[in-house]
Parts: sequence; structure tokens; C-alpha cells
Amino acid sequence: MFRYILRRLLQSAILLFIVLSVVFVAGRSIGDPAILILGAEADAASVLQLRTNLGLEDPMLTQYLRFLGDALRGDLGATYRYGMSRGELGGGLPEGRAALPLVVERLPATFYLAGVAIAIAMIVAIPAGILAAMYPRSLLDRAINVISLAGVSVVEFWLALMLVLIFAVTLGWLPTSGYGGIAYVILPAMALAFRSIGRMAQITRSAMLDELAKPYIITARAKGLSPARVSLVHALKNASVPIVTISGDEIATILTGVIIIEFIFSWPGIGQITLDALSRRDLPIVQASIFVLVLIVLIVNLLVDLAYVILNPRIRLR
Amino acid sequence: MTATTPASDTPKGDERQGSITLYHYLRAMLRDPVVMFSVLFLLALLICAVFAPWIAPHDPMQQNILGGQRQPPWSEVSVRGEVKFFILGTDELGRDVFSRLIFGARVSVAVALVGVLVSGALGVTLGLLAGFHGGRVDDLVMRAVDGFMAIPSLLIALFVLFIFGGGLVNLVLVFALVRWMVYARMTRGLVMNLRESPMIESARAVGCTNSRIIFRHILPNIASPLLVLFTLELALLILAEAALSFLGFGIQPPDASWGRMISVGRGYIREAWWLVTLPGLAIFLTTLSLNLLANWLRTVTDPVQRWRWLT
Repeated sequence: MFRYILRRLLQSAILLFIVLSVVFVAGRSIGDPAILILGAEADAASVLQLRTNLGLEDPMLTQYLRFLGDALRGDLGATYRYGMSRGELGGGLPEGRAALPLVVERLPATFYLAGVAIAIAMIVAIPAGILAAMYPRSLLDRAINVISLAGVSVVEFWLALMLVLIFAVTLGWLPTSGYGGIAYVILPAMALAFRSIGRMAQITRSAMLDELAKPYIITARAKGLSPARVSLVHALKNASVPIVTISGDEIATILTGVIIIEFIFSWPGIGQITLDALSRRDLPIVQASIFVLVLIVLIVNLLVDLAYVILNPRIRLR
Repeated sequence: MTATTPASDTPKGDERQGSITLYHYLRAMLRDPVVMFSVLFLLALLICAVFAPWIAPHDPMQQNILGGQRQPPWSEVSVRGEVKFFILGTDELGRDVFSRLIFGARVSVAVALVGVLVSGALGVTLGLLAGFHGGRVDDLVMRAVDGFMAIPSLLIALFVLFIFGGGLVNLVLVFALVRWMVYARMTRGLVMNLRESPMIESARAVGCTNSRIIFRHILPNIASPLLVLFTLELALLILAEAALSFLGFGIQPPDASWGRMISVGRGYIREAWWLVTLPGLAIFLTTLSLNLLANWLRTVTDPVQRWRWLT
């Protein structure tokens, strides 16, 4: 178990290293950072001055090693323009803030939104899946099929806009966008959760159906246990492995879906800053947000695999 | 549907020995109205995409500021004295929404189709190599698969498009880059199952070359699950293209793509609901049809289940 975790951590570290290297190499090809910072009309002398200060005149290998060394210490460079006005730049080193803290301080907003979305998805999908398995071919069973089919067919951002159109523009019940309490989080969270609800409900349903067909369920019924107890206590415990796996997958999906949903709802999270930095060509912020997002997804994947082992002792990990 | 054809008059035992032809698939499709409508919709879409200039009632680029934001259905605008009809209304610049949807179909369908073919060809080839040869090739390919699986596709796609810019060709290349591993993983699994089967063993015993085994014996046997995967991926790429174009990283103006139409229409959501709703509906119907078709293909190509559906 311990060795397994160690190996997974090592694999994740290697992957992060590869991602950072690719980002470094690709990042060099989008244009001179000095010109990006100073603007196209800057004179050659101050561009050269800034290039020297930023270390861009050094050999590529030196730059790469320095980049990796800095990254190891959690320094992914300073933003080119975030929160800076042009006047502050002067000729010397720009006083841009470090990129990583700028991205990390967006995390609470993202976790808030993603957390509500995941909670909605699980609260709706798992009971619905269990009930559908207990009453096959019922109305609920059919509804789950339709919803999951619609869920994989609909574009998240369009669904979000339709929700805005109905609940914010037409009915005026909820705000169209912005950051804040319950009223603000409902629409983006629903848009994020919709696809997951269908998939999770379907997996829950089929996992429960598999378990309910097994002989120990017949024994439990023969003992005279109530149908609710048989399903909720006996079958659910054994069906929980696929349910946890799909939940973990959906958490990873929601964490990337959050990028586009935050953009639509002007939600001040990591997705918004990523897209903003991409369109402003602010490379350090792009690097930092890719690093943070990949790291989060790797951690979620690791936790899901661990939960897998804990729930099912029969799975022996090498 | 007239079921009294000679084929269905033969006793069941005989039919099991007969081979399944295209006719059986067509008949099964006619019996399932939902699938039939999906297929008809997809065919209509394909025809619209190919023959867009002849089908579109108006020039999709023709602006007419005075006749902008006309609400569907059926709005009339007089353009320089002559009255024109716009079935699905006009957008903020007075362009015909219906014509733009048709031209948008062209872009979305082309990107998704070519994207699936390129990523599929890459993935299936690597999967075949990994599954058939095993050993170090397999290790290498599967490491790459795991790596790509661990990083969200959207993030890779956004970053690559950020570096190289949007446009049709780059979108297709990005789709190849972020989706190849889905095909590779599936193909490898299927090939590994087959590799040790008596069928392949006897092919090898009679002296078939590796390439003959792969192309004549393995590929035909893994074709149907791959076909289902291709259909599902087609739906996924249509969604992905819409999302990337919506964010401004995919199809660039002045090309009309469904994702871009939604992105522009978003600015007018208060005044003109149809500018956001209609392109999204087009995407939804397309991907829904593709998903329904994939489900149907899965059941009718399943060797255990298909007799029930096809005969």
C-alpha cells in the first residue's frame, strides 16, 4: 500500500515535470516576453535592458534549468500585466506579482462552485440511481435514461446560457452572473452538475442492479428483511466501488468544466484567470494555472484510487 | 414496413446460418423510429454541410442593419424595396440565422469528421502496434496514454491553440493530439484479447505474415466496437469544437461555426433569445442523434445480441 502510494506520487511528479517542460518550450515560441511586457512601441535599448534583467539573454539551457529550479521552489514567474498599469513599468524590472499566489488565491472560489456542483450531482444522482434499480422500468428509471442521454449530448455552456435565459432574464429569479451567496451559485452549479447527474445515476443504477441479482440478496430477502434494508444496507455497500469511481471521474470532469462556466458567469475562480491570461498572452499566469489544475486533477485521481482500495479489500495493489 | 419478404419467410434455423447483409441493418433501423429519425437528421445535416451554398436561402454574410434582430419564426424584411423572408429570424447585423446555421454545420461537421478520422487513424495504429507486439512498444504507448489521460483534454487543447492559434487545421491537429489515446487504449485491449485466440494462432500456423494477420484477421474483428467509438467521439468533437470556438480559440471570424454563433449571440441574450438558443439546439440535436446511433450500433453489432434485433 505504502509502496503503491510512493510509486503513484513519483509518476505524478514525472508527469508534472514533463508538463512544465512542454510549457517552457512552447512558451518560448509565442513571442518576446520583453515586448509583451513593454508593448510593441518600446525602444530597443529598454527591451534589451529588460531582456537582460529577465535573464532572456542567457543560453536556453541555463534558462530552462533556472525555470525548473524556480518552479521547484514554487516560483513560476511574475505576471506580465495582471493588476499592473502601464505607467508602473518604467524601464527596469516590472513589479508584477508572482503568478502562483495570484492563481492559488482564486482556488476558494473555484472549490466553492465545484463543491456545490458535486454535492448537487451526488445528492440527486445516487438516490435516483438506487431507486431506479429498486424499481426497474418505472418512470424514474426511464427519466434517468433520458437525462443521461441529454446530459452527454448537451453543451455545458449552452445549457448555462439557457438557464440564464430562463431563470435570470425571463423570470428574473436569480442574478445573471457574479460572485456571492446561494443565489449566485445556483445557476453555474446546476449547469456544471447536469451532465454528471445523468452519468452518475446510470452507473449507480447498473452497479445496484448487478448486486441485487446476486445470491446473497436472495438470502437477505429470505430472512425477511425489508426491501429498503436489503437495497440500502446490503447491496449499496458492495455497489459503492463503481459509484466512488464514477464520482471521482466526475469530480475531475467538473473541475475542468468549471473553466468555461466561470467564464460565462464571471465567477472569479481559476478558470476565469486562466482564460483571461490566455487571451492577454500572460505566459506566467498560464503556466501557473496549468500547473495548479494538473496538480489538482492528479491529486483527485490518486484519492479516488485510494478510496477504491479502502472500499474493496479484495483489490490488492502491487 | 412489409415484413413479408422472402428472407423472413425462411425458418429461423436457416437464418442463423445465413450471413447478415446491409439489408438486415436497414430493416432493423426502419423498425426503430427513434434511430431512424436520428439517421435521417444526420443525413440531412450532411447534405446541408456539403451543399450549403445551394441550400441556404440567403447569403450568410449578407448584412442588413435595418433588418437586424428579427424574431423567428417567419419574419419579413424589405431589402431595398423587395420583401425577403427569414425563417429563423436575423442576427444583430441582419444576417439570416438559418443560412448561417447551414454554413455553420459545414464547419462543425467538417472539423469533427476530419478530427475523428485523424485521431482515430493515429490511435488505432498505435493501439494495434502496442497490442500486437507487446513488450517495449506496448510499455511506451501505454505510458503516453496514461499521461494524456491524466491531464484534462480541454486544458491541453486550450494551451496548444493559445500557442499556435485557432483555425480549421489547427483544431483538427489538436483533436488528434488530445483524443488519440481513447482509440489506442480500446484497440490495444481488443487486440490483446484476440492475439492469443485459436483463430490467430491458426493463421500464424498456416504462415500468414504479420501484416496479413493484422489487416485480414484482426481489424475486421475489432471493427464494430471501433465504429461505435468513432460515432461517440464524433459527438464529443462537435461539442469540443463548439466549446473552443465559443471561447474564441477555435474557428475564427468571419467563418460561421455554431460555437461562435452562440458566443456572439450571448451579447444579445436579453433582446434576441434565438441567437443563443438556435445554434445550441442544432448542436444538441446533432450530438443527440449521434449518441442514439452509437447506442443502436452497439446493440446491433454485438455478436450475442444482434440476432434478436436483425432477424
